[in-house]
Amino acid sequence: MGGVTHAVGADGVGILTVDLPQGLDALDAATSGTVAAAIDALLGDQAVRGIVIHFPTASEQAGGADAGAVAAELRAVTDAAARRKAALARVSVLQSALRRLETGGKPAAAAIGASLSGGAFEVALACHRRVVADDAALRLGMPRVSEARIPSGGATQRLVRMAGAIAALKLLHGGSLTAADAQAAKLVDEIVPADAVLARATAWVQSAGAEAAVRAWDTKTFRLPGADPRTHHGGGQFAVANALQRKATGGRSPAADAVQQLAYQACLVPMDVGLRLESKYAARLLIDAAAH
Amino acid sequence: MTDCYIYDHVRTPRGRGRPDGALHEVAPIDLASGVLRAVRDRNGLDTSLVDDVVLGCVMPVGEQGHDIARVAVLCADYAETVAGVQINRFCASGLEATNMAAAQVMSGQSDMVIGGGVESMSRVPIGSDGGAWHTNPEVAFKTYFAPQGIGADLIATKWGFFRDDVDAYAVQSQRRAAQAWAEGRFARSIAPVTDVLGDTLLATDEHMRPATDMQSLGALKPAFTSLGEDCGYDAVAKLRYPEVDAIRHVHTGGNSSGIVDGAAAVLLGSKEAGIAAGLKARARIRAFASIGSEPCIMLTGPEKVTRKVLKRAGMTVDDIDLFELNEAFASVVLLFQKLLEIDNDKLNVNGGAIAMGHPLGATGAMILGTVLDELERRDLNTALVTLCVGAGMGTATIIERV
Repeated sequence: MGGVTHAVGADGVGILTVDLPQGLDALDAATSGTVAAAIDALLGDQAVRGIVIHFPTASEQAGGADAGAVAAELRAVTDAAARRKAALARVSVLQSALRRLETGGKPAAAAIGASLSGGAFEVALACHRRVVADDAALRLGMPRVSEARIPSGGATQRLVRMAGAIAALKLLHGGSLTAADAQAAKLVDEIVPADAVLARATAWVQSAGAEAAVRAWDTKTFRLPGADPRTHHGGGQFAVANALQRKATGGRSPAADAVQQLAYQACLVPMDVGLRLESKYAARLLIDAAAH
Repeated sequence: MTDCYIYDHVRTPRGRGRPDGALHEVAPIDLASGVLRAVRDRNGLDTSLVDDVVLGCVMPVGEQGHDIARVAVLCADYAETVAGVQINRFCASGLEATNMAAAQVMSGQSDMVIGGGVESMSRVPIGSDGGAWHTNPEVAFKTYFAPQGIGADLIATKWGFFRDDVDAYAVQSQRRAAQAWAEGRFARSIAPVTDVLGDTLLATDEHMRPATDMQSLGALKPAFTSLGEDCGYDAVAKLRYPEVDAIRHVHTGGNSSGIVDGAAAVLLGSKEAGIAAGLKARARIRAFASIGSEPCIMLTGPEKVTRKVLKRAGMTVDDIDLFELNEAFASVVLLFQKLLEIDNDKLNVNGGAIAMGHPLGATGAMILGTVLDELERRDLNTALVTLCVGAGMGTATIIERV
């Protein structure tokens, strides 16, 4: 089989299987649209009380492959306002569906059986819980930012709010973690034997109450982990991270600059504002690419 | 335009800006109100004649927040009609406060104004105020933000000042400051700080190390190597200055300005205001200016603003009897001296912040008073005071005795 499929069990748990060995590209409208439609179908189905998103196979995004094609599509839209609108629509498909999943009131768990990077990892990050296979070779992370693309499925916002800005920036600039390191970084909740991943995630969803379907940053008591640029110490950490980004990029990567800025903003604004900014920066990079 | 005169100047001694410093037990509000009381009491000033108090403060947060100038006015028991405003031009804040106070008088909108500044670096550490410049990535990238020490080392690299040059300058600063204190050259302006019992906490600048020599300075480790190499700032500076191969880190704690606590006040007014208060003018504000300069290297503003203010005043370097440039870092002074060809016997003749410290918001007002005292002692006429400023600026003031 393969691809993106979903089914609802007798227990009221909807299982969305994401089996995309070629990776999930948030800019790939067709595949992202399929994932978004499946999420919306499960959210809208009254028989579904919780959702498991199952990643049975590795889904690793090479990164950048599709950005040129999207830029070419945008080039055909000559009106500037219409081009902005088209770019925003394109980058928002996956992100907006994931935000609906996150705030839809139904507990969602990611059952991660193999390595994820890019869009598939962004889907997992939007779940309320992540259960990962105990596999030393498994990696979770993001592809390197390339000229015209940044993560646009919410990773710039969720990683910062979960792991703190400095750890998040390492991933966002193209890094990955083992399951154990991801757990230490608060990105993974549970590591279980590979053959138990789906069962554990399902069991969690079955027993989860309504409070489990709310992310920390959507509550009034949320405390930003890690470097907070509003503080003396955190401001200094950001300043050094900025300088080291310069050392690494030589100031030649607008996409890396956008990621840096989004991680900073993630510390300062509510989730929905941060996600909106992520979409705008992602759209701007595509628009700039279309102009060349 | 109304002429603005300097009627008096007082400053606290500077305490080491650490928890074991003599002034650490004194809240910054008390440093500020202390100099306001001192300038009032020694002049028998009817404070209802004062329109405004302008105080520089570079970390105006926490206990230095809330417009510390107005609150200091209230704490000093000035007439309640005296307004207060806190301003920030980074390291030149104390001089800028004086300039803004003078501008009120010169424009005819105020008659008598106090300028000055305060900074308790031991209680509100540098960096406490945050800010977009270094933390916001887009801003840091656009401005090639690097800390001041990197700029100082970049100046040394670009203009060929070596470790021995900057250390020799530091030795001179210590020697001159020690001699000035020994001869009582600062005595007229110092308002000792007392504790809650009325005992003197500090009567001299605490940061000085008169025994400093080339050998003791040479043993100090460069202060900014790690910032440059490990934190990426050398790379940032080299992106802005690709002609520089490798930044030579020559500045240490010994040839950079000291971190200290202190406050200062300068009493300014029109001729008529002075007569009404029964005061004798000591000097006139001849001209002042500020300027922007390249922000990454950050510290090259003094030469540029000096040329600007001299032109504004219709003067040349030779018309100035004494120069006072804040010793933020030794290379800043060496570059200023080199570019303007200033005689060593005219520049920072009583030492500066390398020996005595740099209480950020107060320093400009302190060195204005220092050089005024020295003009009087030497019976000279004109002085130019200037400071390098964060984010690439310079501020300068020319005074002349009357």
